[in-house]
Amino acid sequence: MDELKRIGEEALKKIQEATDLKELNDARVSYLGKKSPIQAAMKQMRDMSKEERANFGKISNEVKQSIAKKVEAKKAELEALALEAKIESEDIDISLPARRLPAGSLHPITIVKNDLENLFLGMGYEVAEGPEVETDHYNFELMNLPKGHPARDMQDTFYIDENTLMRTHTSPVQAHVMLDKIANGGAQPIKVICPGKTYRRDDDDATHSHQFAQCEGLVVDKNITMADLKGTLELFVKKMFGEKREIRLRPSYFPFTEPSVEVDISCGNCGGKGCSMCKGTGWIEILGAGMVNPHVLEMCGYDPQVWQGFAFGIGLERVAMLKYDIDNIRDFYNDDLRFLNQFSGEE
Amino acid sequence: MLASYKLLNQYVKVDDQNPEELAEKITRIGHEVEGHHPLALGTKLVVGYVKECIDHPDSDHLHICQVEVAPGEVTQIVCGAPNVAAGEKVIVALPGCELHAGKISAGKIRGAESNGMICSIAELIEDQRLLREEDKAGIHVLDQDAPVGVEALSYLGLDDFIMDIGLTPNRSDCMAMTSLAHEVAALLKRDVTYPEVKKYDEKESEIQVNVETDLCPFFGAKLVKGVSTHESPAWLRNFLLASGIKPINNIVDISNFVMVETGQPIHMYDYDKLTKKAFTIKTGFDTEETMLDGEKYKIEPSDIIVSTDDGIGCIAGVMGAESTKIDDTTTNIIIEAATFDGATLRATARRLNLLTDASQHYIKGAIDTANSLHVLDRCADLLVQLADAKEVYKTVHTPLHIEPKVVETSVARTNGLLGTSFTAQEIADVFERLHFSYESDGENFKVTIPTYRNDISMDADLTEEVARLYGYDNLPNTLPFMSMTEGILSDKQAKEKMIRKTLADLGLHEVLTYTLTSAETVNDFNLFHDNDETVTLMSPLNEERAVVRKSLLPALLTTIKYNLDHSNKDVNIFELANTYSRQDKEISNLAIACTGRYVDIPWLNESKQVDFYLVKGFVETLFDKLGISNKRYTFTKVERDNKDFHPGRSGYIRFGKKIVGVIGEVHPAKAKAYGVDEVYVAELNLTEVLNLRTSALKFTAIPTYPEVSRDLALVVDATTPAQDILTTILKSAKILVDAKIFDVYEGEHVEEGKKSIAISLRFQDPTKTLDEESITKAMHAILERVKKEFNAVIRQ
Repeated sequence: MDELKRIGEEALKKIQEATDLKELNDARVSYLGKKSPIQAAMKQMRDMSKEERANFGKISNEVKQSIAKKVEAKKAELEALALEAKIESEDIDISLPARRLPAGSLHPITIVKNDLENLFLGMGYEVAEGPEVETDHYNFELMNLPKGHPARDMQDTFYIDENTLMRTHTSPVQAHVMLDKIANGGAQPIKVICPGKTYRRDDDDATHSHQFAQCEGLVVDKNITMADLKGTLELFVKKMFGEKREIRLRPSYFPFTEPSVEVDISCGNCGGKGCSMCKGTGWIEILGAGMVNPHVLEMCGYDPQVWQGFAFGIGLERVAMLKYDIDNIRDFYNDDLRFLNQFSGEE
Repeated sequence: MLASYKLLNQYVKVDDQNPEELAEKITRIGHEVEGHHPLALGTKLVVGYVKECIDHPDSDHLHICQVEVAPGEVTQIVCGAPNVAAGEKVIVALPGCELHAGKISAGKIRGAESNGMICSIAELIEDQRLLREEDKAGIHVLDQDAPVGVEALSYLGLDDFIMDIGLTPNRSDCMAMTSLAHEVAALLKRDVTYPEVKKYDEKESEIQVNVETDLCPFFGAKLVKGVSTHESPAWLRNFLLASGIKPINNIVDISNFVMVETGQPIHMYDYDKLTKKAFTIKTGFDTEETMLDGEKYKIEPSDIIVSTDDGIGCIAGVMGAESTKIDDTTTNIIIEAATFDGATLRATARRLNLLTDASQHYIKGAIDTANSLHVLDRCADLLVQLADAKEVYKTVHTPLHIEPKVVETSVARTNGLLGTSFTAQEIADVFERLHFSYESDGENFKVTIPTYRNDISMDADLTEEVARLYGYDNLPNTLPFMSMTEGILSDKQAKEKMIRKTLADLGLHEVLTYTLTSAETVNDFNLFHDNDETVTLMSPLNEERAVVRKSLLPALLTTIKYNLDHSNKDVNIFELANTYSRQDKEISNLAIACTGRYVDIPWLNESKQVDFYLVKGFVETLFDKLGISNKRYTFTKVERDNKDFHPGRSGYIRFGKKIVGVIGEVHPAKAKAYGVDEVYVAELNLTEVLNLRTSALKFTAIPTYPEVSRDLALVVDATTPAQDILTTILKSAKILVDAKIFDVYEGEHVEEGKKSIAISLRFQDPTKTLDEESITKAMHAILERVKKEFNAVIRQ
């Protein structure tokens, strides 16, 4: 009996001393296996009395159970240690750069165009396009700029032949839209924006580009007013540049609108107090607009006694320059990746 | 145009207005004041008296002057001007005075104390072009009665303020100060004062006027005798300086001043130089003539000519001839005030490069023809007052009948266009402020438009007058009230937007390049415009931007070159833009160009160079997204002698026989010409691609029976396109659902000129579990087929 207890104590000690799962298993086999000293000791049971045998059996079971239990406990302990060691060995530097998919970008002019489209589509506008190689008739005549009109000087033009040119503005798309309606069932209400490329015979520098992008807007119905134009432009400015920005309309002149206005936006840099960015005025010119000139309506098949509407023309580079604080228009056309990369997150 | 504040004050009272605030108000009614500045700059300028002037002991040109700068206060000033002398009254800039050239401070000049500067006119006025030689040569000597110590600029009459106004083309009438005065008067609710013009007892002259062209609606000539030429009075010179015009002498100055005041260009002829006292206005001359600037000019038959003595008297509205010009000895003058066709004049002035002040007035339409006779009287009166004219003759002129326009409007029209609720009284008030006369019944207006307002012809024009004088700030803000509309992009627009977004998401950068390119490169990579005629500009700015492009790739290669030169080595870009050829051909192109690496994560040792298959992947992804199955298009190699694309590494994308795009490596020789290295590109004809029928997604049920895989390695000719083999295999057995290439090999163990292609096959029957027999049968069919079509054998 004492032998059993001694073996039991010895076993528990061995198990406790095991440093890894193999040593533990070896100890388990040597104390609980067929060749274990406990099994050997149990052979003595044959010579014992019934009572002694029962007692011996009970103790040997207790010893075996306590060894088995100890083995389980030690196993869990060693496994936990092993996992800890494994985790320890698997440490990484999470500050290293990510394995990112290549990040592309949309061009800022596309981003601004998308912004405008989203805003106006939400108000039920359609998007119309027109040709960049345009006729003199659409670009000038239908826009109330007959040959010899002094305002043609405002728009130095790339002519292709006497009747064909690179369009100088997106306004001719107005005429395309109206004449399309006339050709397809007659005058109907119109609510449209027309983004696109335009061209003028300007030398390229920090503020001029022979190619630039505009977005025309045209709304025609029987009761459209200048107040509607003002409300629409104010909404545009607040959505595009923030709720704090204000607009100001200044009388101006475009042959295709009457009355015509230049629209200024309060300077975002100084909040309207006046700074170098707004040349001290607190205002920055952003677009031209007005009520569609009755002559334009008439030439495009809309009776000016019945129909009236507003039109506006936004320079997309101008909007992008103000929105992103870009000061050189050439940046848009150089396509330097160090410039383009900055627009990766924008849509 | 430059507008003098003091001159404006002659016609409407503004001297109680702060000039800068006035400029802002003028801007708000539609005449943008783009800049404003004082005529002469300088805050501490006084009239001084040179009491003593001695040579500087340490200089060969400096003088040391004792100058009285205020009664009883004498200070020492060193002066370098050759004409400084004791006893002169001069302009003194005291220490602290800021001139356009810099700030004056007290100091020592070559050891002598100097407390200021004695000034020339050139030091006060910045625009040196307006100055006479004597203004620049030395200090300005004042009249002896100039009071010592008074502010010098106001003493000189140079205390003026100039506004630089950017007039809109419809309001060129405001080039006349009287017309601008009406604007300011309406703004400030004031009256306009016209200068008084004295009438003379006029005799009949023998001048004859004969107009033989429609391009001259009015011509008036007035003879004035006995003038003498000398310097103009200071007030006249100062007004001209403030208007940006160089004073010359009293005669020239008067003609310029009358133009500034009335907008009507004046030309003067020397009466005594004309043999026949007759003017004929006509076109049709084809000659050469020396004009009054001494230069010879070529005259074309289309030019309007004022002909005298059967020759050229004047190129109408542009410049007079040398032979008839007035000079210092002229005593008898014929004054011309006429109206000429602006468009014709523009062509002439541009051709001769003579866009003079006068011609600009005609070109821009600043002329108020109805006022012409008055202008001639004003001119004659000034010649009497300022040039001692002795006799004034009656004006000889063509008939002048100009009825003022009457434009109708109503309260309802005005409010209907503006979205306002102005009363009849408020509208009438605007017309009164503008000095328009009108009749009204309380709703409708009949407004008589002054002849100088040539911009007003319809009710919308009158509505603008109401809006701009009340101010657009007072307009309500509303949104259009219309029937509901859908507000969606067209199919084409939505697809183009998707393409941009997809390519950006795939890691490409969208670029924006110029539509105009050089004639030299316009046919490079041109695939979709065939031999169609190039769209060519009539007068390009330069050879680089002379024609409209037919392909986007030249610009993308140029963009790559630009980036390589700026140390951006991995350039993966795309552009979507229109290209054009004559006959109204507009094609929407999409181009992709990639060079360098696509993936680059150095610390993970992961780097992927761009190649053909990358770009092909971009294109196929787009086709997938557009709902165009890869069964519908094929790739075929470009021609062996293609000069744009690498013949071994480039192919056309075809739908049937039609080429809708190309993918490949830029031909190495072409790449070299563009200064780039290995570049892989694609260009698609989006107009064609977006017109293709797109298939809606069709769902197939997930199969319930297991699939069986088999691998197959075939040896074929190295030139056989793998896709052709796959297409054939897929057609060979019904139960074959997919075939994928997993290895391609050329080299050892494969016969020269052959390649091995390893293909993984997937078999499946939707109705039952496949048995070995049907698979063997299918494999057999596949092998038969590829053997027949490609002479393919199983790799041993």
